[in-house]
Amino acid sequence: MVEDSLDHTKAMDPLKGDYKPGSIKLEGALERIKRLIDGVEVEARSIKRGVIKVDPKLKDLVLKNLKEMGFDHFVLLTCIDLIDEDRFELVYHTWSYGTKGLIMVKTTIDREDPSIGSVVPIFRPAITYEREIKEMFGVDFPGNPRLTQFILEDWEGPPPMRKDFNALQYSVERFGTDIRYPKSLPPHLLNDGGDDNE
Amino acid sequence: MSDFKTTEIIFGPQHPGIHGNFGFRLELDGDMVHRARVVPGYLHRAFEKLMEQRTWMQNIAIVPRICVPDPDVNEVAYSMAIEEIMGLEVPRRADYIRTIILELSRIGSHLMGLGGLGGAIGLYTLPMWTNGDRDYILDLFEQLTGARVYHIFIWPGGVRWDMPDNWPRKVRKVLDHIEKQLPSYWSIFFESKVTDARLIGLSPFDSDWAIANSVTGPNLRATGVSYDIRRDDPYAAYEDLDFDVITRKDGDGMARALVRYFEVGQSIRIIREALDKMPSGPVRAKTPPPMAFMVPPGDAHARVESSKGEYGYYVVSKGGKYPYRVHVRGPSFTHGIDVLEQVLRGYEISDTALITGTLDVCPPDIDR
Repeated sequence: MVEDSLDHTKAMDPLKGDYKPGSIKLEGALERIKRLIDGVEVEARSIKRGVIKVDPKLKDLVLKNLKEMGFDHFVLLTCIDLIDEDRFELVYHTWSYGTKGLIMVKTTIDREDPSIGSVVPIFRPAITYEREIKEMFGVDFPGNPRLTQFILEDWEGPPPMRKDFNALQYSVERFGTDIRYPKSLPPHLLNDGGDDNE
Repeated sequence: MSDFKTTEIIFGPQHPGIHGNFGFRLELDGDMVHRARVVPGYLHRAFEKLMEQRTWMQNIAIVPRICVPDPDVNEVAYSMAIEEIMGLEVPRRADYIRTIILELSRIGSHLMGLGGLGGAIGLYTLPMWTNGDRDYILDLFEQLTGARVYHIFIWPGGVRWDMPDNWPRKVRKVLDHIEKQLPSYWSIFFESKVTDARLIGLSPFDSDWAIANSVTGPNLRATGVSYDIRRDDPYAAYEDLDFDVITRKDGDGMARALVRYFEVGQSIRIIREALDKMPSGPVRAKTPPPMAFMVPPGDAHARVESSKGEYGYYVVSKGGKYPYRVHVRGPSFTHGIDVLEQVLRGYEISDTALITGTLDVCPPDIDR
């Protein structure tokens, strides 16, 4: 690998844009999903960000179609505890290298006995995200081959990222900590786990 | 050979070759890794839960701790998500200062990563040099922000204050020094026969596999995909600046190391151009005072290109003083667990630390 006249601040052989799976526009992709599948709500926030709201039963179909349209980079899977509505919201973020846009597919499931089909057959990287959500929110993902223990070793308490989990109360009960908290402690720390948004 | 015996060993977090606070459980067939399982969590600090209980502005002090070698991407991505929900316009000068900070941070992180690779193959001179040079960058951060590692300098609406008058001159001086050092790194590391023997052909994967497994950043560019969030989903001042997206074709350990090496040169180029084009004006948009900082209901996903790959913040607000949910997309969450477990299979135990190094896994952003 010896090159005498090598300029160390320049690229050696930059390939410029040789990967172009598709060039559908983000609005076009959203319109197509709306046309193909009944009962979805679509919203184009900008030329690079779109949102699809869909029933949990149809989310596989939406994600498969998005993948076929070039949205093949699975960015993130987020779980949000909507405790006031008694629902969990799951947000699947997909990016297209061709369109250069991000589409968020949102769906909500019941908070009691939460369960939603795994998307690992469509997007392999979801395997770790689902594993984490199972542990942190207690949402089950039938079809995920690896819902084993992830970060919480020997955990016996409720799923800790849920809004009704109070970390302070849990550690006092679990570890028997007997310390006096200052009276000036913000009320959201003494109530129910930071849900105080007044 | 259907019933061969394997030995399970625990590799890390105490192993000297491990990159950060995580470990493996390796099932070995002789010296060969038959199955690897990553054990994260040694650094889990429940930041996402903590952020729901702190005000929007207090969280600025929490987010940089999510990635230790490259902390500024967190501040920028978190601020960008809030700015998108609030509709805040960031002054152009602040965008330029953010760009300079991000690129300095990228150089520091790449130098540390290259040094780690040198250490993993037994070449301890390189980490001495790169970490020594990274210290000049930390000095620059100290002069600008008052802190060396976690700067807590970027916040929604801009940056905390303007650059000191003599700071750009000092930045240029450090850049000149690092540029002069690059050929030395090249000759000691990339011209070494040991490097060739260890890195060429190490854990290769192609672009289709990389995309299917959400590999991002330098690891993806090493497979020939010309993709960089700085260019393809631009933020801060990257639209105005001219730089090359470095790619290699082979997708092996050597390609990944070369992409990182040449990105240092590109970062130097970006910072110089940003200093030349630096616009005048304010560095902060008008925002509510920190203790009364409220964000209207909404959600936003902000993405930045870190030295390890794609960094993202998905922020949900229900209005009020505290975020409702902040989800961090660390690049290592995909390539540090599932991808790593897949590529380690079939390699020798002595390559484990090296493969982890070429993928540039950053355990804090898995654990966060």
